[in-house]
Amino acid sequence: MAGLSFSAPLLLGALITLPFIWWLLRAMPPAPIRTRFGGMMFLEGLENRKETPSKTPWWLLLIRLAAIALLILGLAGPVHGARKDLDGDGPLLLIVDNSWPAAPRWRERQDVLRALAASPGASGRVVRILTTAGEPALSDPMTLRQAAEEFSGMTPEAALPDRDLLLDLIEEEAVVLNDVAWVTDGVIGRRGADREFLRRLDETGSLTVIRPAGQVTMAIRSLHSLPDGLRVEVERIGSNVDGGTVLASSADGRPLGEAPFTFENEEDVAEVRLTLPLTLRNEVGKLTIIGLRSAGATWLVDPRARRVRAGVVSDGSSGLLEGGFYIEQALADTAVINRGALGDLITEDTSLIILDDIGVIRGPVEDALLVWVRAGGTLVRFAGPNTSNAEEATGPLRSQSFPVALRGGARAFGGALSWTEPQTVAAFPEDSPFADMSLREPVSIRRQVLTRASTEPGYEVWAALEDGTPLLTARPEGAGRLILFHVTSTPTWSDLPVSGVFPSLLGRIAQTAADVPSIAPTDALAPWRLLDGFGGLRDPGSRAVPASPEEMLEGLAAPGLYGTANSAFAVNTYGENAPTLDPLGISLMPGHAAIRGLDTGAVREFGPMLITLAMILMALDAISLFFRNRMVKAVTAAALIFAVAIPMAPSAKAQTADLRPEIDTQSLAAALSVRFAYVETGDADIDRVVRSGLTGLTREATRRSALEPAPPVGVDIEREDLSVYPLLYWVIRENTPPPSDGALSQLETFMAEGGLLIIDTMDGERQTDATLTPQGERLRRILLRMNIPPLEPLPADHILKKSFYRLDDLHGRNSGGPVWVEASSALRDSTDGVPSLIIGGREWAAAWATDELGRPLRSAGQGGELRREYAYRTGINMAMVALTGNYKEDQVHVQDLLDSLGEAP
Amino acid sequence: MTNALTLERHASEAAQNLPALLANAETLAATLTAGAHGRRRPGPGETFWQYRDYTQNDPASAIDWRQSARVPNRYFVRETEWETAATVRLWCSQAESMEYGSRSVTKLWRAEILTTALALLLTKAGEKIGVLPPEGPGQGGQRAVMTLAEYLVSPHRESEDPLPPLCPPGTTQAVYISDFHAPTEDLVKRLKEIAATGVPTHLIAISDIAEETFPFTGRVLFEPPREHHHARLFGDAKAIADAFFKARRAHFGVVEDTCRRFGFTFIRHRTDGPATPALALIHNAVAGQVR
Repeated sequence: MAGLSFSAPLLLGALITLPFIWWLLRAMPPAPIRTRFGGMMFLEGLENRKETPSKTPWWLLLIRLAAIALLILGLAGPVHGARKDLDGDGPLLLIVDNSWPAAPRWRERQDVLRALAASPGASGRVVRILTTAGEPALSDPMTLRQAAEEFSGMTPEAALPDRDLLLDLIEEEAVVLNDVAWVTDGVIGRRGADREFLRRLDETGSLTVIRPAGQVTMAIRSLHSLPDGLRVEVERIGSNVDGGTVLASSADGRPLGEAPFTFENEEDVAEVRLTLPLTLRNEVGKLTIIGLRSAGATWLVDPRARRVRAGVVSDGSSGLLEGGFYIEQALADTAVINRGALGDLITEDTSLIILDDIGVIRGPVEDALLVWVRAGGTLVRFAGPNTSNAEEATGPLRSQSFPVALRGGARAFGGALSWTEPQTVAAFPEDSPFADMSLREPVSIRRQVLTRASTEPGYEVWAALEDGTPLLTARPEGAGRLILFHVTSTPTWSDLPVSGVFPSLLGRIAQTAADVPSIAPTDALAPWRLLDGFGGLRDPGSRAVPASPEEMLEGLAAPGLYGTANSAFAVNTYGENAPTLDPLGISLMPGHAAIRGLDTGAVREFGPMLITLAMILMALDAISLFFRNRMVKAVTAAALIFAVAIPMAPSAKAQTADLRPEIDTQSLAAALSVRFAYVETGDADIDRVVRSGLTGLTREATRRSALEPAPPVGVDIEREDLSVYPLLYWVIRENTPPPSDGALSQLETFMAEGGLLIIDTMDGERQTDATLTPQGERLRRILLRMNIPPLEPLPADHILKKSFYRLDDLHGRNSGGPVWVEASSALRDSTDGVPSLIIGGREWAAAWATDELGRPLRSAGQGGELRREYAYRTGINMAMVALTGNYKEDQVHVQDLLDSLGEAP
Repeated sequence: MTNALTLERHASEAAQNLPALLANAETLAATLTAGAHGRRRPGPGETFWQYRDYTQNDPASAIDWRQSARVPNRYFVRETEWETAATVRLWCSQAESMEYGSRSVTKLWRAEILTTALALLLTKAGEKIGVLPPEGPGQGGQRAVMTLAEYLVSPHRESEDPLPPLCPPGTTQAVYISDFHAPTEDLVKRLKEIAATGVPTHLIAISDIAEETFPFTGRVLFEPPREHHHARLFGDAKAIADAFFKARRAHFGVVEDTCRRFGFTFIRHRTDGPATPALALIHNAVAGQVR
């Protein structure tokens, strides 16, 4: 099957013409020498008796003949290593398992198909490709060569063939299963549909199964967190492999650790223990099997298996006087620390919460805290003045969130007014989780809070003083645990926070807390990254279908990471719910199947190379012509320039485009200073009014406020970059031509990046509730094609009414019709809450419009010049909002603040 | 000339070529001024020549009484200079084939130089000259040469006819300068007509060296000097050289025979040689006829 063959052998017949071409080249006279002659009269009657024979040099003749021969050979498509495996010549159905088990040797599969396509006479065969992974798809009929090219562009998917859907599709499309070639992934499920699929293949006319010999298929089946590392289950499908190595790497690809595994005897599942320091373990983002690139051999690790998240509530952590500092130092290696208000920490997926001397917790928060503890959280509290006072303040009612009831006040030892010596910590009790730890040096305690009674149910003493007073008490609460340090987290009450044992204590506690209450998703999540068949993470792009919690938990969603980058929820390819796979042995295959391996050498097609060579020879010919005949110099030079320049020009352009998109001069100028912009409508009158309107507003803003914009500019939204303008004024009339999709997406980007788009329909006076004005109708049509934020009628306390002047409404030349603004619920912090869209029919620009001397262009409308003044105030407010966003929203409360200050004594 | 633009173009072309033509012609003519014949003698004419004493042969009416009254006892007769009403007509062919020159000099340029030089010589000798086809009466002196030269350097459609034109009445001699590449029968017929007028006629046949040697080889596309669409392509130019020579010899043989029969002067001139011998020959021929 190796060796040289031609994909179009008939073309070789054209080689017969070579001698004819040789004769033709010989017989062809050379180009005549043109000369002027005065004796034309005597030439009139003469006959052209003899032709000058061609005087082409032999080497040129050779070059030309060689070029033609190479061209013919090249077009005939010589192929090395073509395969002649496909029987029959009827329409062929090519079933391609583009599933993850096929990924490790995907390239070979592609090569095989190319080799098949290159086999003599096969390239023109009609083929339909049926891809099986995920959602099966049937292509249109194409030639085998096209099919091979199509296949070359495919990548495997992180899914298994769904034979149910496949059979449905075959049924639906009435696919004729006559000549079938099956590029299999080498595995087969155990379900009925899989067997049914094999049975259907059994009925085909001819079946070629292309199956890699000795394919290695392994998959990571599950991952469990252990206190000291991770436990991974690897499954092999087929017995072609005895073991391997699991590599744990971080989310950004750094290798963190690896562990080998072997399959014992007949076992198909091997267990791997990856022992990693907690810090490293917490960084694990991905597990892979070394040397096997497939989605199945990749396991995405999400925070469920990751580090302990500790929430710390303290006064601060910046210095030696603050308890948070000692706690965070002690926990730095073993947990991720979140700081914040207690209420926020509870709702996060925190497994450990540390309260540094928090005395009273408000009722609802405490309830939530207890619910969280009962769900498996670990609450650690440190005592302190607040804690001891709290007990006094709340009376004998014991707080539910302490492991044990406390007495008010604190017991002090060794003070100036005390005869007692500071106590030291005794060795840890037998039943304490710290029993295996020892105290290297004595840790003295100078002050502590005391328990009220020692008869609490479930109350454990994990550490005590020499005199038996509890120092560290704990009580299980539901699935979780309450732990109390009877001293402060600062070294004021004791030496404990500065002793070597302190980090060990907190680290041990953190480890016991590592069994995080599961953070099952509650809402449908959009994919953040999806796995491809090779186990790489890709931007989901158009495949971004949100998955429901059930789908994610049961592994039915597309494998990948869901949610956001920081708290992603992983769905893995071959999870516990995935169907079990068997190797596709020969015994399972239909009897008449011709089984082919992938053991083909690379297919080498010489055609393109030969044609290139022919082209080079022809170019040589042309160059020699250039030197032999001066007459053609100019023509040749021009042709050469064209031939070289034309293919180069677009690529050169593309390159520069890639490196840095050009900034047009207007944008460049506009970026240097703040300026308002308006959309050029093409209607000269409107454009003039809007331009003068914005000029008037610019002048008024300069006069009245710190905002000093440059003169306004008109922009063409079809072509120009809008990102440099803060405010864009767009007049829509009934005859405004609908903008192109490109322009609309420009506007969307403009709004998304924090620009303020003011749409003015100039029809406020005519707006009624009943019907839509023509302008409104036009606007509606345009907005239907746009992705616009949700809108609401201008609320009473909107920032637009307060950003500079206090206004009752956004007055323009009229005050009719509602003004719509982006709903406050949709405002984003990333753009400082600038509403991206204002829609109204108030003719603001017409009210602002003045000529160069500052004389108004249009009448101010009902209300006279006072109305114009209000229009200017409206415009300045809009500009302020566009530039400062919600900055001025604070000012809304100034009055209240002043009032309350005034009331203070 | 059809419009002002072409007029201007031709005028500037003329102005460009005129000094060169005159300079060339004068240089050429200067080589021959020595030994020029004079016509300065009394005879019938308009211009005063001299007073002489009355002789018995003179009619009484010939006496100039005004002059005779100034001198007692002498009678004077007023003699006028002998004036020939006749003119030497010159023709310089501007046929298409004339514009060919295998080297720098075209046949036309050489013909124009010869014509002008001849005109200079003749006018210096007091002859009147005129161009052919007739353009006004014959003139004498430097002005006539200027007129002739201006006429020559500006193209004229009627001069593009390869056949020599007929002389108007009152022509004493005719000089035709051309390559005479016209169909043999037509040319002979025209020569016959010229001979019928009885005017002494001189022909200068100008040729290019390439026309006599035909040095072309290989595949050649021959184009007329002006128009390109009458080109002829010959696969092997060498192969047709003999036929070409034969046709050319036959043509000029007939022309020369005809000239000899009618008593015309026939002078051959090749542009690669100096112009002086040809000018001397033609001048002698013309002057010989005058005497």
